[in-house]
Amino acid sequence: MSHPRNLSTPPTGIPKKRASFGSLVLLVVTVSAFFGFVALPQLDRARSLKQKLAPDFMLPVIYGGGEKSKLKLSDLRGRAVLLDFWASWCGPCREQMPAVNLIAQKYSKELVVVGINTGDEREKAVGLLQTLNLRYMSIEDEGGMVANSYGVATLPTLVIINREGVVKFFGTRVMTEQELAAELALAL
Amino acid sequence: MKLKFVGHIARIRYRLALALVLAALLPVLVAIGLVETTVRQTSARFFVPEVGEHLDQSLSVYQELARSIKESMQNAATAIAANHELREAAQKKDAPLVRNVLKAEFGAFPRLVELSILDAESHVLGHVARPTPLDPLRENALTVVRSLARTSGIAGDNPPVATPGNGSPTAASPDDDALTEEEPSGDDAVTESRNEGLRLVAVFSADKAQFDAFQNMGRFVETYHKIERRRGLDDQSYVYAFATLLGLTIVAAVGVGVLLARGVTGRVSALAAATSAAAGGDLSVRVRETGQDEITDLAKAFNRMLAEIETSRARIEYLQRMEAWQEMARRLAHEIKNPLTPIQLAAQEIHRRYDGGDAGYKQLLDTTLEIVEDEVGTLRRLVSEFSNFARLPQAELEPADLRGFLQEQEQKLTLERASGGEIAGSLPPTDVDMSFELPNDPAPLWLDRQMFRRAFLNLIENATHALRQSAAPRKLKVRLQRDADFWLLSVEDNGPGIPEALRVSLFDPYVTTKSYGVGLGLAIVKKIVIDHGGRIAAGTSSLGGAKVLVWLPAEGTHAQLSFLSSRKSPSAPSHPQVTDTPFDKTAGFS
Repeated sequence: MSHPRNLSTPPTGIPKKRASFGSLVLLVVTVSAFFGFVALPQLDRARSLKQKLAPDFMLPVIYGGGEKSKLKLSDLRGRAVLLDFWASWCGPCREQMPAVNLIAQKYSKELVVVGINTGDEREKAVGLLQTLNLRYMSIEDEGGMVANSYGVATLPTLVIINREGVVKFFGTRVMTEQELAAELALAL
Repeated sequence: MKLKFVGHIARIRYRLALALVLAALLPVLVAIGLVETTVRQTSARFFVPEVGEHLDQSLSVYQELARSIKESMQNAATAIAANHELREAAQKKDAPLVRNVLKAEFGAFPRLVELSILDAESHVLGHVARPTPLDPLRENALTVVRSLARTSGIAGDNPPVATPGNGSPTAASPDDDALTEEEPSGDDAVTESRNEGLRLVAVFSADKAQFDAFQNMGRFVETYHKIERRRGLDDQSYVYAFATLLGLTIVAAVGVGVLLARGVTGRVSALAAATSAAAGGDLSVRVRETGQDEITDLAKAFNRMLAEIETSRARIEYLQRMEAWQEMARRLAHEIKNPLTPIQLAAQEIHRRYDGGDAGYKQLLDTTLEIVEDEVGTLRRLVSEFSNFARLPQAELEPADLRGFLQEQEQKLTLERASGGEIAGSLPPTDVDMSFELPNDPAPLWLDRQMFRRAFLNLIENATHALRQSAAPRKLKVRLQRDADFWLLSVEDNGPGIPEALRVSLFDPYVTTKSYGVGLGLAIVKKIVIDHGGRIAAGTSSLGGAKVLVWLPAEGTHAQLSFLSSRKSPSAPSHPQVTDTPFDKTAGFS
């Protein structure tokens, strides 16, 4: 008869289970901690774009370009780009614009200046641009997705991208024409 | 290290992640504990030791039954083999007799299927079979071989030789081992020497259903014991699987939670950054107003607050600067004005007293008096401008309707232009196409009508001066529209426009594009606008010339309330009064 008759054998593995249970909890905590403290900051690192490749975007032009045309950042590769994130309700952005405008005129050959109107109403934005009679184009970042991808927290934000598409400067305050020119000289 | 690196920005995020982990971990730990207990209890209920014992007992009953069936068949075969008649007939190789004996024996055992007698060379001496062949579906065959030994009365002497008879593979499975027996290979030689190799081969049939049930029972019991043996391991793996699932859920929940919260924490971080910048004195930052929640409201309120602080700070600074300029203008006016009369009188006296005959000298005196009186006149006008600027009173605001006010101004201007009245010289000539674009509804706000009229006329005159330099068709447009909290008044022309470099300093005193004047006109306009809580800017008109924009806070708006409340707090600049110069509405213009 080959039937096992060892009914009296006690079930094994219960004390081992206790130990494994503890290590399991430890594992879960470790994984969570790793995720929270190491993985998330990696995601967050996008905030500091300096010396990194500028995120590409394609947005509709609302001023200073053909009607209904779109601007793709990667199409500007080979030329330096100055991005000015602004909104019509933002007073300091209006203050910033004349200086940016002068820069756009002075560096018209080597620099493309692009205003990025972010999270705004198009009519107000276009109205303001027409009043100010600016010499550089503006594009519309309606949902603010591009501003998010650039980690723009405050307005105005000025970003200088070199010919290779690398972010060389990230400014979060109103700058004078001279300050901007100095940053451009450093970046280009 | 990592914490320090991102600590400032993401402190909230870490706390949130930690809170999420803890919040998810506690119920999960409880759940894992519960599951462990439940699994253990459930399996304990299923695996009661008595069940196994009972199963084993019933199995052994089955085995006893099978053994007894087999034994009865073996006994039957032994009994047949012990038949003397059969043995003798077989030894004589009397086939018909063997057959008859077999037939007689066959009838005595109902379970028999076949009976054969074989000699040493396995030739069949006699064979009897049941009319119906063995039905392999319903019956199992059991073959028993017996020697036709003389002493075969004792069963134990002749070990039975049994082979599974139906040829089905299940017959050889360990479960029907009750029916199979090892073939005693050495026995043949022994029996042969004693019985000349004569053998009886009896094939019995057994009820297949019975044996199948027995086999199944055996399998079931074995499976049961297997499961029972692995029970501990199974419980453990259930708990592990559950724990792993929950662990993954925690990680996913924390991840999704933190990612979702990222929008909020990111915006809070932006607010914190902007706040510290503002606290450091930089009011020129604004937080992005993304989303539709409380943080958006907070961002909007924060931006508005910054704008208000910036405006009132700029206003106070401007008013202080203005006060200094006014003081300078007052002193200048005073210092220049006083000697003017004596100079003029002295020159007139010299001119009057001379009665000599020197015609050339007389000519010189005439010219001198003319120059002195001319220049004194210019200086008087300048003094009057200065003192006007110095005497600018503080605006006394009262509720008014800007649209009505502008309609009134339009009528007055039209009349003045047509009649060539007192101030017609500084108004647009009749060939200028002057148009007013006013809203359909009243534009309520707080206004010092007299002062604002002066500011408005200054703007009109400025445009007129600009238009003098341009060719027909000359246009001047006044427009009033609503812009958020403000009424926006714009005065545009199609003159030469304002040089870009001048736009920022345009409203400062002593800045002028004209070859004459002292540059006080727009400074006065700005002072009046600031006194009304408004703001002024210059730009380019769609008409091609200059465009001056004046924003005045509309009645009942946030902008107005904050202006009116801030107006009480800052020290109002005092206005030193210069007397005895007649108030001249056009004098402020430069």
